[in-house]
Amino acid sequence: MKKSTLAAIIAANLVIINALLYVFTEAHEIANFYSIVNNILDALCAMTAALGLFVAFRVLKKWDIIKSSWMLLFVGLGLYAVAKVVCASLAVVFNVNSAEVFPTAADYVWTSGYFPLCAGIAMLYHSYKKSGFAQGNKKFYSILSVSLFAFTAALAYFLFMPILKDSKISLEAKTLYIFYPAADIFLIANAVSLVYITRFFGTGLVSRPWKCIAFGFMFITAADVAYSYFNWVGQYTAGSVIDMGRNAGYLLIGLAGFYQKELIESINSKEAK
Amino acid sequence: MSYTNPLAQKIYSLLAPLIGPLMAESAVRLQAKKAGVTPETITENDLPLIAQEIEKAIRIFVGSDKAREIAAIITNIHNAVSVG
Repeated sequence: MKKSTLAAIIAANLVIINALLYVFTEAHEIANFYSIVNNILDALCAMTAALGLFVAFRVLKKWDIIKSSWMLLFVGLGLYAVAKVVCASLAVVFNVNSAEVFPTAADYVWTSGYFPLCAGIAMLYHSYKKSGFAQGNKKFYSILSVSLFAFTAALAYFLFMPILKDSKISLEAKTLYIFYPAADIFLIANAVSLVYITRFFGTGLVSRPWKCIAFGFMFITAADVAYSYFNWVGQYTAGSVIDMGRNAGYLLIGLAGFYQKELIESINSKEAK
Repeated sequence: MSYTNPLAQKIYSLLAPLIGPLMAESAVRLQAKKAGVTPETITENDLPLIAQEIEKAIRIFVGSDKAREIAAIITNIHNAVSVG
């Protein structure tokens, strides 16, 4: 069995376990137990993503912009994984719920992960633009820009402004509440563009890692924006659809790494022929 | 996609599994155009330039070293054509 197939099966099972546990614990009102399990599951998914990206980074031999992009994605997701482990440790060892205590040490590690991630995904997109391959319809980019502008304006009005006006929230927490969705908008813009581009590659081997990365980031960023909002209004529940979406995103990104490795190996076998 | 020119067909067959049939066709057509020919008139002499352009394009997906290896296969694809 191919490693990517195995990774896909494990990923699908983790998502199903996540959903079943949530339904089970909701029904039996053992949310505290689930919060701990969920934190461990989150950490596991983030670590899977980091591992997949490391595999992709290692398989590229020469240091170039592509290897650097994969390295930055690995470092970013690696920091996310560390943040998730810190979160899980806080929940399991110190009984600290990071949804209630905000920000925690995990948030700072998480925040620092955004920088390499944004740089990595922007570098991938920029390199594609320079490749000479089809860029697609200009209308798409215009619609995307207008949609993102409208989304940012809505976010600013419904989320940023009320958070800034909320006197109960510390300046530190306000900064992070705003930083997350703002960085997410940048990530989602690049991810949506990548999803659009990968359509042109049909069933080509190169499309699989890119599709997984693009959809993975879309899941993570959508979950982050939802988390910022629901956590702020006090309606966030650990392990809900928000966390499941984020975990599915991590697992897709992990899969991208394994697919990238297979892509490179397929070229090795072509040479052998 | 099927070309009557065996060189164009070989390049297309090499690229299609990697970047998909649509992009492979587009790559063959565009890179041939850059070399001043059409897919049906590609000759052995055009291969190094076409290979170089394809190398630049696919670098983003497979990295510089693998892109160079694919370019080397394209440069020498006439040998595969004449043998096979």
